[in-house]
Amino acid sequence: MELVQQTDENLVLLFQKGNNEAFETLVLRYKNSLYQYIVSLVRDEATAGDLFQEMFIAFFKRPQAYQPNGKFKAWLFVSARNRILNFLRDQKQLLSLDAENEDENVSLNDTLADDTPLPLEELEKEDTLSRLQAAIKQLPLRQQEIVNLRQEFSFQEIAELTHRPLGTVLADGHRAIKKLQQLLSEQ
Amino acid sequence: MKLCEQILLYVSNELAPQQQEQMAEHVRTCLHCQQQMALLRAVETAAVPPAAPASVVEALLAKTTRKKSFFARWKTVLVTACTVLVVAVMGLAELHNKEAAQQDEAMYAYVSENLDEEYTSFAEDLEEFEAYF
Repeated sequence: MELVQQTDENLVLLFQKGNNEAFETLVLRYKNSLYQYIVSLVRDEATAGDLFQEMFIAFFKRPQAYQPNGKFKAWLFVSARNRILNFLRDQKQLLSLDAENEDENVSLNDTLADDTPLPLEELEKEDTLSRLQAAIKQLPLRQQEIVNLRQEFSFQEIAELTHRPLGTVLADGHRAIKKLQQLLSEQ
Repeated sequence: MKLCEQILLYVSNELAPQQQEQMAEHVRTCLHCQQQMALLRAVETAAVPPAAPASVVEALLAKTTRKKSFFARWKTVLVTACTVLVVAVMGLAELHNKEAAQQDEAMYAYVSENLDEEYTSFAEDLEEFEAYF
């Protein structure tokens, strides 16, 4: 079986036995999603590139750091998240990602979209994609993180990865949707 | 939990099968949930990650799997230095051999030219010496 068809866990095992091509396959498999996750949180492409490289260099030097008792993908994103948190802590931006939102105690129902939602036709317009991408970048870091992680993980997995209760993750998800609707309506 | 509050889990297919069916029924008649679903799907499309810069990946691989060892990086320099050293030693040895050969030739020439005279002189000295004693 070709390397690109192997599971993450098999590739890690091969790499741990000295197969460097398996390592490269993992890098190429996650180069986009992991990079996008990092860049969305640090908001600087050069820094994101450095953190992305540091992540994989650390793994290259210590492949045994990953123990096969969980998914490699989750381990990879948790490792990246820890590095991002350290970076934001150094930059004194950590509060924006890890602190509780000021409206944290609002009930989930309050975070649901309002009664004047964006018309469905609005989402079908040609320029909606670029407007939506711009709106996502305006979301608070916590909400952007969920939007990005959702590309790779379920909400339950996101809760485990970020060490937050599922209810909190869902509330942030609803807040993100509400905020996006507001932003798109304003544009 | 109200049904509308489960829309995120429904869209990501994380509800139990029975709840998924219940939500599917609900969404058919709930404009609010239809709106949310449409936006969620649009977000999934919009949030598709752009490619990481090729330079980032290349730099990473250059520092890991394609990193050259110390010997490999200095291989050309080391080979060149060794070659120069060997050539220099061989040149010096050749020079030394030529000088030695020239010295030998000069000595042979001197001996061949002066041997008789030297021998005669020595024979006379010997005779004198024997006569004296």
